[in-house]
Amino acid sequence: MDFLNNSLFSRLSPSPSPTPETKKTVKGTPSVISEYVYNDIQLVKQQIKTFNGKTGIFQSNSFYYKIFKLIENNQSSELNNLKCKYKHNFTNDYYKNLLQLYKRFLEELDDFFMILQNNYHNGLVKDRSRKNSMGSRNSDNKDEEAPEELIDPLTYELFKDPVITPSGITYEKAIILEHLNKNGQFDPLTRNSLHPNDLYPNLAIKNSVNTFINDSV
Amino acid sequence: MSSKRINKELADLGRDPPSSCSAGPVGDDLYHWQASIMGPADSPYAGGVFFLSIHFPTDYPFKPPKIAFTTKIYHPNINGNGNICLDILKDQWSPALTISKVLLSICSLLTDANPDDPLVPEIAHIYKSDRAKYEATAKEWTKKYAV
Repeated sequence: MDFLNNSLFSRLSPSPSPTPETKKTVKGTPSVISEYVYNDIQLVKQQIKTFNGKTGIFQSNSFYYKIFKLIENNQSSELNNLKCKYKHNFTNDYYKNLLQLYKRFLEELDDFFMILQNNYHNGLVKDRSRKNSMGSRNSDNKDEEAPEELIDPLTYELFKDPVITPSGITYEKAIILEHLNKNGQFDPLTRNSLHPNDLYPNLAIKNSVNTFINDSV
Repeated sequence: MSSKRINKELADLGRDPPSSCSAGPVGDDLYHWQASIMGPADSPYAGGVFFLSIHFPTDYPFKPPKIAFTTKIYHPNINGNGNICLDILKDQWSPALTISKVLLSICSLLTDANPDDPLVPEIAHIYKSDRAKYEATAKEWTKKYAV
């Protein structure tokens, strides 16, 4: 309960911005307090979304997103049940129950947010997402672990169709062709002149990429 | 492809930052960055910190980033709007270049101006005819705008 009160008043909801006055007068009717708790709930949800925006945790690990959705769905159905129970007749008793409900919702979301942050910062999520990507086909995360010679110097991605120039530099075919088309006929790294006909497939690198992909699965 | 590459450049900058510059997105927009360069010690810009804005075109790295000083600077190759006259930002761009490499080139442009291809002919003229006067003015501007 202490935790609840703290979180309730340490976070200042953007609206209806409580002044220091209202911070002290904790006591009000359940309908007033529940409005504050409701604002805090929205705030935590916003924080979770911002956290996701920064870390991409929901994208890299759909498990957390599912839990978040489950919590949201569960809460909205509980809210509906309460409204039905009182047949939309909003008595004082209804607000008392609503406040209890909101407090629990807030606690659930706070816990979830904490778990999310802990797991992220302790690297649990990262490890998991890496395992996931290994299982799946030609994934992006692999680029970071790949040896430098298997990475295209222009896109920093693992080669798919490597070609070698007369200067001895290997590029991804589609990318070097786009460069020659857009910037002129020169090798991006050496600036020696380069014509599309000078490009030859680099089979050794292509084999190494395939070996690397197979080894890491 | 451009956002992927920009993200990777950002990660590389974080992992292995160049000694005298820094760069990163301004807000949520990955295509708009801000950078800072410390005035090189062996130049009249020493002691100053210069800010730059970086805009990536959507077809980056096939096209060069647009980079301009937002801090006022007295230099033959940088004009009053902060535009920089640097070949690698124009016809000598190569997709193998990175923001990190470009910022280092700008640093060396501060040490060694190129008065034969000036953007501000008056400054270039002073640079060539009265080097002491150029250095004094550059120092003064650095003190005034970049400290």
